[in-house]
Amino acid sequence: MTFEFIKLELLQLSRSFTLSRDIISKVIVAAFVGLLFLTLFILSFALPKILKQTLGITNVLLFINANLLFFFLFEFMYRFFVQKSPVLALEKFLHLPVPISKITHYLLAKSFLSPYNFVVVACFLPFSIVFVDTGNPTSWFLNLLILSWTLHFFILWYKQKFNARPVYIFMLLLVVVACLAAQHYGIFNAGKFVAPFFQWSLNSYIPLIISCLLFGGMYVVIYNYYRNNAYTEELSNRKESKTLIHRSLGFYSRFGLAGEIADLELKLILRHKKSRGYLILSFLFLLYGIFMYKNSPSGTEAGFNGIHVLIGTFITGIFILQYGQFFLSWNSRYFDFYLNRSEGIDALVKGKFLLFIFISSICFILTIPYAYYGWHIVLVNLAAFLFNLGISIHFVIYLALWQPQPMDLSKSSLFNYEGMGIAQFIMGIPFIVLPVVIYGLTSYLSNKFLGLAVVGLIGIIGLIFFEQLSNINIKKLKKNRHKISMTFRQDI
Amino acid sequence: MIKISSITKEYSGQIVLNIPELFIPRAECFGLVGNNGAGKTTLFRIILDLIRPTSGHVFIEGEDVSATEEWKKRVGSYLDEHMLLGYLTPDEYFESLSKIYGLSVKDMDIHLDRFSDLFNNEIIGTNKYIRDLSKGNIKKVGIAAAMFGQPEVVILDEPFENLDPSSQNRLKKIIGEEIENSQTTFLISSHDLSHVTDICRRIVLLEKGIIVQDLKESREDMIQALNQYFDA
Repeated sequence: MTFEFIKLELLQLSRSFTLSRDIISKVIVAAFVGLLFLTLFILSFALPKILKQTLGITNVLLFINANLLFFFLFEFMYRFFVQKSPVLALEKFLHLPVPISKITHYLLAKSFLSPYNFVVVACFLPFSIVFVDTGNPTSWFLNLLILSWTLHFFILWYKQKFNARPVYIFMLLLVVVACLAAQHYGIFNAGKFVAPFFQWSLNSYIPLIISCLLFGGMYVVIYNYYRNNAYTEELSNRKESKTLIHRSLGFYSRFGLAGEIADLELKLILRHKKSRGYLILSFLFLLYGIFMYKNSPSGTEAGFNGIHVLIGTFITGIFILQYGQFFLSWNSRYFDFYLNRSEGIDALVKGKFLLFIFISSICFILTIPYAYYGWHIVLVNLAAFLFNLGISIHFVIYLALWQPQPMDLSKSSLFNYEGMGIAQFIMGIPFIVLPVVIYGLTSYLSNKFLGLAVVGLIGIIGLIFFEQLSNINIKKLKKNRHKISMTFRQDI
Repeated sequence: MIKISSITKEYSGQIVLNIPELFIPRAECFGLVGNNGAGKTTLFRIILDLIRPTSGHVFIEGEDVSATEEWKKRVGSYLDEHMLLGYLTPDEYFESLSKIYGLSVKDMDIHLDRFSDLFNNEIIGTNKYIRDLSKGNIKKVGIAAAMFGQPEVVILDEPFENLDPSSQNRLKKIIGEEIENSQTTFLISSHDLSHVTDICRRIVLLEKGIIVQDLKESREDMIQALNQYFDA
């Protein structure tokens, strides 16, 4: 049966309407991940040297053991945000005499093939081979690996159990910050507290056995959870339908049909977990500036550089970049609705633009307080904001119109959890880098303020020709409308 | 064959299904009718353990459906197109099913042979994915899939919907033969009163999740009772 599942999945992949898009995005992500792993791998070899030179650490192994706790807490964080839960269209098998236990085992095994499970290998394998000379490096390394794998299943369980509510992750974040602070001020060193466990694994297999037991136990827990919730109806969906979210933006009505659609789109965003996530995310990322703007580069007369432009583009445009990548996918279920209206396509595209402008503007306005770090920050954000609205928005949507994928918003059942994948972040990189490149070139040729002005000016020109630029996308969409609407019907 | 005891289903505090007791004996053709939202599909889903009832149990030959899975070998069903793998051709889908049910190629061909009239040369041997078939043809694939592996119970949701009139008649013939030859139990929901009364000797009428009538009379009496209800 396992073989049958794999065969079916390969068939599904190869027969997807969005095959070339899938492949290209997978290749880009794979290249990126590969590069990252290679870097980690090389760094692992150089780790003792780096630690000795920068921090003056003499007993590297002891230092690492004392900080492994933070390594795993950090791993927990990134796994929480980017690790996807396994997906299988459960309703296609539940009524057949395929044991649910088999389906569940298959799903869990499949989820295991994730790059996050090999981070420990890249980080510590070279180190353990070359530098762990006291005791048993195999036991030490395997212990770490199994702990990381335990975390893999723990995250699956944690995300499903608590329905990925951010409150819980913030609580954890608080614990991490408290630990770090306590260590910094010498009150309590949580890392040292668990270090003996790792130290012990150098001399004995007992810690490894304990980790294996933990791993096995976690597998049993996640297996039972999945097995007992293998129903086509999601538990949390019910809770959600109780409270309808009524929020309308009155002023949108001034924009006619497009305004109406922007309003509908906002309802769509607020009423679905996944889209709401993007909205919340874009506001959360505004805080990014606190860390980044604070440390203005020293020795620059203007007080900003390319990094600031990068951050500015990111925080004012993240909603466009993230939400816009699924431009039509959000509406895949209702695409025919827009096709059937006169001027429906125009209104759909323009409505979405209105919404993007609205949300992006709010993001920009919210960044104004960063003037605290100097007025130049506001200038940087303004230029980036204008560039996003004038230029990037059209680029993102142009790409999004290439083989858009259907997305089922109503379905977010246990086995269908669609998290925010790392792919969306990576695919957004070119749009963030573009203004930085323009800025970099012009500021290299003349000065930084001129560089900023050019970025902003290009944005303004884009805004002046907004109608013409958006017509390119509208035309493209109209030309491909039959193909797109066929794609959207594929998902049965 | 199928025993339902004190099943209720609530959605946000609203009871959508409440069946204190229902027994469906072997080889019965059980028709389920009722207006939209009466709870027909919900009842089928609960019988198939696809959704969890708020309370109560379903037993198929004494097996609690939520506790075991053995019964799945003996129960075939087709409720909607989400049960199919749309990216396969019908042939590939049937092949996958025969692996799941452990049927030989010959068994599968014998099984599919019964549907040759219904399929009308539009299903087998065509190089079309299921997702690209017309709604009626998708339904035919689903119905044939539901009857895979000689099930003792077949549950079909609106089997006549989307079928052309001759296909509807061919389907009725197939169902009649199955009951006659293999003692198969059928559970069929339908809005088409004439079809459902044609093949089912027992009709249960649902209204807002409650059984309001359980008709076992002659065909004419059933039609009269149903017409009286639906005309009101």
